[in-house]
Amino acid sequence: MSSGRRTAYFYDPDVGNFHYGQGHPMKPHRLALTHSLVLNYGLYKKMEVYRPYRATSHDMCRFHAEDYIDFLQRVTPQNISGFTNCLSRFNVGDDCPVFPGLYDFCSIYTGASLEGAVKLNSGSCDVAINWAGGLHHAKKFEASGFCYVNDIVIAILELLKYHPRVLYIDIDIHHGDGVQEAFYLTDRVMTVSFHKYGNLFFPGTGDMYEVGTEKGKHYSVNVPLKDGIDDLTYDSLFKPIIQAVVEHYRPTCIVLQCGADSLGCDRLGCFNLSIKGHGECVKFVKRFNIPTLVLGGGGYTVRNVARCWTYETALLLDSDINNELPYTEYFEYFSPDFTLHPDVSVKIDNQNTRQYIDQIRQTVVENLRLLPHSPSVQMQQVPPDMLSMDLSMELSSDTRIPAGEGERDVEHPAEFYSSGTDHDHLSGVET
Amino acid sequence: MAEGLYRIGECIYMEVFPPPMPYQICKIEELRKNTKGSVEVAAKCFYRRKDLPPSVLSCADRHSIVVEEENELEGVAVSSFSFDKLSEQERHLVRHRELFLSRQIETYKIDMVRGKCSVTLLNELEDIRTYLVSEDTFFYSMVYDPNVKNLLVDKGDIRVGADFQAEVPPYIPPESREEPSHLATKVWEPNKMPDHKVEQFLVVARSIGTFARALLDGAKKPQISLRLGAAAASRDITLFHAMDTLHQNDYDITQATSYLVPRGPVLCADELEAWTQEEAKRFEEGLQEQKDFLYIQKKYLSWKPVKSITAYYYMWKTTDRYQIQKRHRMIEKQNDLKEVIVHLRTPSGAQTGPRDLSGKAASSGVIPALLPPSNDVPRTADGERGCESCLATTAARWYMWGPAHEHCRLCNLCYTYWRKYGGLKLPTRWEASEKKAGVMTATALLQRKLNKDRPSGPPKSSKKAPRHVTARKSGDIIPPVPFFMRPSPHTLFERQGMGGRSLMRVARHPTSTAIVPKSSPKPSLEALQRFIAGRRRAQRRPFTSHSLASTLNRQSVHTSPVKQLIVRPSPTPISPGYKAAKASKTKVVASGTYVPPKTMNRQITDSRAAKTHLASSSGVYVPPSNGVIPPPVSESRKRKLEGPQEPERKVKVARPPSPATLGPGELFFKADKGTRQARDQLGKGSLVKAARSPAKLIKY
Repeated sequence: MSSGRRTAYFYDPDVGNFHYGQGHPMKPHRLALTHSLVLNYGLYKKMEVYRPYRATSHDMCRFHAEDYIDFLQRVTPQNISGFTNCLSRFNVGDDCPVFPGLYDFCSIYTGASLEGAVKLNSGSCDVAINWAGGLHHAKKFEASGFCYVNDIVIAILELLKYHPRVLYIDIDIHHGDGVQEAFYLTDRVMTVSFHKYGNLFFPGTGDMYEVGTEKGKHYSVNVPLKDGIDDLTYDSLFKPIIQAVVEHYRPTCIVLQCGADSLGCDRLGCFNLSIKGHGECVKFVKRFNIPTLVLGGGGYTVRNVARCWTYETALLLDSDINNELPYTEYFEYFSPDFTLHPDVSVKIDNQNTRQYIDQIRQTVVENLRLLPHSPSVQMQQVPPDMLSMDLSMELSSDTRIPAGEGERDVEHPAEFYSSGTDHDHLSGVET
Repeated sequence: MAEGLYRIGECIYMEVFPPPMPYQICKIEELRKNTKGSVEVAAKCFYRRKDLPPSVLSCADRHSIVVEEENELEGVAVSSFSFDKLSEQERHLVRHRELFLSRQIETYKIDMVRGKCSVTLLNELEDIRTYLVSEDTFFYSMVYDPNVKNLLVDKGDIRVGADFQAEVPPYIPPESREEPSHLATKVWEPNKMPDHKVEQFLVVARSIGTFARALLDGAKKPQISLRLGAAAASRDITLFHAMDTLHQNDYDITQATSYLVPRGPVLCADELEAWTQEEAKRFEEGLQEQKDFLYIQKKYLSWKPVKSITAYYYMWKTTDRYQIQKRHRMIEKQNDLKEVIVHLRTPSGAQTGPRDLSGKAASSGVIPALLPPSNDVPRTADGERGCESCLATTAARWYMWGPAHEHCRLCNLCYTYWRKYGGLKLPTRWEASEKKAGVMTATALLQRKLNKDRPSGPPKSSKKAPRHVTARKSGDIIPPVPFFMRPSPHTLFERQGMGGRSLMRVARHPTSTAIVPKSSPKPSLEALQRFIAGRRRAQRRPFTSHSLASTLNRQSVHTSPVKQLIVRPSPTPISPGYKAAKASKTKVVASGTYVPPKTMNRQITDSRAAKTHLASSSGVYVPPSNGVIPPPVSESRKRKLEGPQEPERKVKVARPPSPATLGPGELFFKADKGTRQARDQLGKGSLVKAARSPAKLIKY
């Protein structure tokens, strides 16, 4: 490929065929829907596609407690009555029900994320995509918020073997508490989460003052937001903050959790992002040219989740796709408009005032200044690779305005809404 | 946004009975049609600041300090706003904007809605003043649990310890890395083959699939048309299989094609196609019964794995049969609404009716003319009191406000303000006395209702918000609010006119007898004015709301808690003129020292603190024309102010109790030298007498 970027995509044909139970908003089927769109848009053939291996309990225990994983492995809807003690202990029940194939499901999505990390480590790809992963609430000892096994933590642990500093970015509407908690004391992972905070919104953590402790102090960044945030407001926070984070922290690898419940019209969410606005974050992160693991996450209005992740797959492949959806076997799901970018905005007020946003940004950036520049690992120097050298040159200028190629794209507001102009060079190759 | 359109999740003002009262603020959780066809709103309630018990409030204020200090300790950049920076007036107004979230859900009729507002979580970074400039905006930072009467922070914890954090592996330098083991199966490699070649191969695969379907045994899939066969062969499963085949054959089209027709055409069928009609029928039957795939599998389709049933379900949803079912369900679901349009007849929420004082009925008549002019409220051109809140003397419309016998009024603007924010624009004494004077606020009613409904338990909380609500089993008893009568000049005057005996009679049979004053039914206005003028002179510092605002300095409450009290002899029932003259010459007879209980937080900022302070700083604070001043907080204090005849009544605590034993609102009287001297002078006998009948004058 002319861009020289290699993209690996992980999908297990079984992953969509699980069901959390009647009335449960989490629907693994959204993954099948996404995959069908990816195939029929012709994106499938532009990347390396893998059928991931399934994570073993040994892999899961890299982070999780053994008895918890053992419980997940053994519990089924049929024998659940024998586990009453464990259910409350491991917070399995209402939000995180025991459904048929629970362990298989965990094993599939965790295996894919882990494999993505392995591929990034070995340098056999630059971007790894696993829409099935991104279950950021799961804790070491318990399930939480529809998440059982924290595939993100397990993948990051794998990345940490070869990467001195890993940056985790979370644009799910819910706070990425599981990942933040797992790496709360270390400076080798910086977690940045943009989320709705307040009104007893799940999970209740993610205040701006949760910055990490001990060695990890200032390595947890939280951006609490209020209802109804729109594209422009989100953009005005996301870009400068991520720019500053990358500049100060100099990650050698990024993990991006793309929870799609921050879109407007989400069944559980209350933000007002459009699919393009959501994708803009992915685009921005991609521009740093740092190896990136892209994961899914929340997203409870299934048709829009599929649209969003398909669009983001295309963005990561630098490929333009038509607004008109191709015919797929799930075509009826996208009625009545059958387009990739329907109007998903809701008519609610944006409660994030200009002033509020400015203050949040200012505080977060000020906190970043307290960081020692790119903390070193106890080991020697960072392996000299081309990517990080490019980066340091690129990021030497002002905080807000990315230099080089990025500048054009960020500063031009119209670019935000039209299809990218800097991608055409790709299309010539195949045809 | 459409006017009058209400959606789930929006915050609204709710009318509560009996109006007029400050609105109940709540958030719409559900909208549904009831059996009678009218719409009901299930809404989560917010509590106003003044609806919280004082003990809980002080806890809230203490918390905010702790948070601030923690952040300072943590060394986090706090750019921020602080409550201290506000002026008193702003502080007063900001308190009207603070709410407390609760999990209490109440059901209202939709026609009780009185408008929209917004309630957001306060961020420490925000300048709180932004809430003041925009209408209908509120903030909250804590969650109130009315069942156990405590506050929780709307905030979770990140836990620290070996049970929570991951073990970070050491960094492996490049030279000692091992070859990674790749376990995933690659199924597609890009750029091996031009796109159009891939497309061509897919067409071949589909054709083979169609041919395979045509060859199918007729008994298995009867009457399959060529067209349907082609459609079936175009489904994703055929395409995926074709691409897999291509990859396995290293992108060699010839080899891959022969792989698709090993001994005849390969047929890839997904769940939708593979299921027989009989199976489909059983599935639909099961689904109608229960949307539980495990259940359906057990009862109807034991030979199918749950996975296949799930896959089938999602494909079946694209068929016409599902559309029919969906329509049925839609009809059932019609009663759950997502939004509703309410047309408000009076958008400001103003209630017309008996409370509306505009028009002739109110401006003419004898009673207003008899009203004693109070000290601070300016009068309108026609001699009536101005607005209690903004002191305006002109308004488009006037509203009765407060206890009926007080004849207070609010202008239309302040009335709306009061209904929305539950307070007056200026911090007046009314604000302080209002809630105790029997004007029950909306949320107090709510609390009562809650107590009544107690057996039903607290609203069920979703796991998505993992905080616990503990229900208390026994119902809470609302303690009776103690109050006492503080005679206004007017009352005093009336009393004199009535004479002792008829007063006694009234006191004994308060409901049965009409009061017939002994003297002329209409006391001469002149006499009344003289009487009042005399009393006013007696008050050394006439109270104005402006001066209150300036005294509302909480710093002084805490830094100089010891205040001298001026104790005057109580008015003697002689002629008003004489009494007034005597009162003005009053000397300090005895002095008590007031020690406010040491509250642990330095940010007592509620109206209670203001009141306490007010009472302690101006000994002559006499609420004009208010017959009922019931604050339990300052009860003892007020009595002390009244006269020396009964200071001992409250002297029960010899030593100042520790803050822990003191209730948050309690006061105690600490005797100092002067008091003891006065006591000694009085002697034990008269002291006991005074204690028993505190209303009587002590004779030396």
